[in-house]
Amino acid sequence: MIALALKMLRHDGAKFLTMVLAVALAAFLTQNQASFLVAFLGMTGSQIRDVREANLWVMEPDTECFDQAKPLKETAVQTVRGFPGVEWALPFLKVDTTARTESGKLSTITLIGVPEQSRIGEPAMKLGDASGIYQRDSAVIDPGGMALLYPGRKFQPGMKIRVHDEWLELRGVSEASPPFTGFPIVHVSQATAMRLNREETRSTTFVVGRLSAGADAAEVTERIRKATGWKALTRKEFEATSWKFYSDQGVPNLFYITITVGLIVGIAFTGQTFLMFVKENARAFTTLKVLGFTHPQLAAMMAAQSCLVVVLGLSIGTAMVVATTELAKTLPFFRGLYLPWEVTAVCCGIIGVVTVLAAGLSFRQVLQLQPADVFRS
Amino acid sequence: MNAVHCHQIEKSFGTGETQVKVLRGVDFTAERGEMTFLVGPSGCGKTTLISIIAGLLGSDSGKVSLFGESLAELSARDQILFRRRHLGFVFQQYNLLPSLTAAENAAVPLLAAGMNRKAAVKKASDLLGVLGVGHRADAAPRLLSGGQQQRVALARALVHEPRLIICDEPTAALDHKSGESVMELLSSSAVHPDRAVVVVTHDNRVFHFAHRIAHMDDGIITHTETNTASTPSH
Amino acid sequence: MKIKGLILPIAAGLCAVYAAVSIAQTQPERILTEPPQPPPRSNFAHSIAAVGLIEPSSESITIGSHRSGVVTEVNVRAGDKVTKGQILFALDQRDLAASRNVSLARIAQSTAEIGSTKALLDQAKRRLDSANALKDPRALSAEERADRASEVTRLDAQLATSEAAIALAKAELESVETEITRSSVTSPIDATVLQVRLRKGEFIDGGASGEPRLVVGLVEPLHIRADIDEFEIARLKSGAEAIATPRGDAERRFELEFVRYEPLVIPKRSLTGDSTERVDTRILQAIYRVKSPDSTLFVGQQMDVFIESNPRSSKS
Repeated sequence: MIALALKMLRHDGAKFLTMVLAVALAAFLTQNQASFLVAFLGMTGSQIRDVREANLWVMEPDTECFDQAKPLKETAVQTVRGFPGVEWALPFLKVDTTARTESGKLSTITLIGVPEQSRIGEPAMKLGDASGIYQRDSAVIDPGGMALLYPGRKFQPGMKIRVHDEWLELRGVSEASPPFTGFPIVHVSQATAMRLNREETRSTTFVVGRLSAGADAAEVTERIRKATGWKALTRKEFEATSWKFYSDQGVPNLFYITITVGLIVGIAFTGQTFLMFVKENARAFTTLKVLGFTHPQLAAMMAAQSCLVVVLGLSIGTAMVVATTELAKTLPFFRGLYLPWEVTAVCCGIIGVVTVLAAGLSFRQVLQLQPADVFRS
Repeated sequence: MNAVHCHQIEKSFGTGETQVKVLRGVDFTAERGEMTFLVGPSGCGKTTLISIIAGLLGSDSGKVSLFGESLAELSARDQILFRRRHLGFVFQQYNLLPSLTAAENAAVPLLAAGMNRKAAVKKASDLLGVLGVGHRADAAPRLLSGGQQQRVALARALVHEPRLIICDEPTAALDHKSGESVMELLSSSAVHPDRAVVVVTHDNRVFHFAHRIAHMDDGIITHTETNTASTPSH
Repeated sequence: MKIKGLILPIAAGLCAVYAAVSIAQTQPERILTEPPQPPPRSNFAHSIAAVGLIEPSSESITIGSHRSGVVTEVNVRAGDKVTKGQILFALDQRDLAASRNVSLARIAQSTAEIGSTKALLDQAKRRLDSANALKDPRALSAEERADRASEVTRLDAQLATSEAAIALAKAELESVETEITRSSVTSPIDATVLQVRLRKGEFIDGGASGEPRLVVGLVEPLHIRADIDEFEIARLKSGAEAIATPRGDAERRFELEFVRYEPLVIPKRSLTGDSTERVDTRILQAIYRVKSPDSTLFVGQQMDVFIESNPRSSKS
């Protein structure tokens, strides 16, 4: 019976293909836009995630994202260390400053001071060795920074950037996650960062730490908040806060429009085509009714038909998204792009359900078919 | 017990001034082991009558019973199940599903009843062989001639061994020779002691296949004649 | 027809596999890793964390010089143990030696002058006495008699002047000799030389404005000066245990023994050495003794300190 239904569908190749491609288009547009959106907003948490050792972030109460942080007072790290449930805590220094290359290229950069004694937040390296961070007057730069400061050039040892009045020799290229701001991420030792910290008078941008195993994260952060007035967040919460901060700026609205358009176009196309398919096959459906097919059976057949369309369409559409994502990822600025499985799940789920429902509207046509019309020629 | 028994069937379409009374008290019976022809001019109500007999239409008044069972008293679902189990149909335009092969088309009633696809197609193919189109079992309907298509349709009407077969103008779309051979097949394979065959036609070239001919005009059966010339197969 | 009908499903199947594999491989990982090197951790249920600096139990003594001058000898090297009064370094004393010679010459000169003045005075006294002894006043004129008397007075005065000059020269000599002593700088206590930034031939400025050139201190025992945020003071408890871990080697813990608090809460001194740092924290300094230091602890080293404390009150 199901096989019969699918044969009916595939017999009408043109409509079948139209529907599959419409679903594929919807799947492509929605997932493509959603993944861009998620990846972009996800970048607001790049530097948070990059401190892989820490799951506790303490900051001034009005700090809402990584990029716009007011530093804490110097003793903050000691204070945080004193809380039960905090396994360890360390100062994290981020300096927003400008750098210029020997050839005069200028860019705002984010300088991250890696604490020498524990090396938390030390980036994975693409080229060179992370030990370069700790050498005097040395730094490592992220691929986005390379592309920005040395467009079209490959990394060579001995490249230098000038921050304030000091030359920092680049010792390698890190795999730091791409920042939302798009500015180069430069890792230096914390001592170097402190020396170059001319913009702020304090040198503890955040206190990062680790919650003790078994400690209740909500309880510990709440205790820190209450006792100090600072904002204490788990890594997840901080990521979510950054995400919310930027998404409240209206960044995603354009994406939402495209996603909605993609959904509507794909589903309208599919629904309309399916309706045409049912109308053209009215005689066949009437015959089936006369020959003893019950409405549940016919519904199952049409469900199978729409499901086939959906499954094929979603497969093709998702593959298109994956292919474009992998292509885009080769560009330094898009290197953080990826297709979150949640996006695929939600988009495919919505498209699938709505398409099957749209096909369900066509089922009303089948319900209205008069069996007695079978004798009309 | 009659295979088909209709008593005082009335049916009108439309309402008010445009109301048309199509059946005005039809009495009709068909017997098992016989091929009953329903003949009459276009618009006399033949199609409406067989629709009502098949349970595809309800009657305004009167009573239809098939093998002693009153269809009108069954639920909508049970009507469908009854039709699926006990009725076979042959249509003027064959009504084969273009997407399916001949064998699959013939197997549709079995598939509707939930039979395993392989077994159903096998059974249908065998029947196609009996009906002389076994070599075209895997062909699509559009590749078959009219006569072959109607044989496939015939197989579809027979495959689930129904107790009543309703044929609507089975030869109207065929040339004389094909029509003759289809009717021959019909009378040789469909007529069975426990099965009634009702054929609606106005093709008088095939009247000689009938055991009984009910003449219908303007919504009533005018007269019924028994065809003594025909030789029942049993 | 059959094959054509299968192209789409097969293509879609391949698409699905490709998409699934790619998605599975590209999901970002949110892992929690251990730090490459362990950060300092408290081993108390409730603790106050502080940053401490290792210092000598005598505190660091910056040796200064009263005098400015060129260094002629440096008798110690960093790390040397010295006793109280031991000469650490000496300044050029040649100018002082010259002054001393001048003073001595002056004394000699004045002494000689006193001798000759005394002889003249004796003679003058004799002549006055003989004049006074004459019975006949007409034997000598009244004027001659008066001259002889005033000669004695004059020589008396001259003698007093010379004696004063000797006293002055002696005082000068004493002063020069004090300066000479001061040119050799000695250790005020039994201590270890912590820093020598002074080499033979260098000029140093004396007095308060002078740059510290030599630091000594008593390093047995070693102390740690821990900076405690003023907000944590309420949580301090007496008799609390404390530990310290060196920066960069948080696995090693040194037990501490409480010595005293500095009674004055002061603005936080920057340990970062950044002069632009704005002070916005006041701290209490607590002094601890390192119970069993080893050779890896050095004066001036930063330590992370954990002090056992009362639990934070749940209100606030």
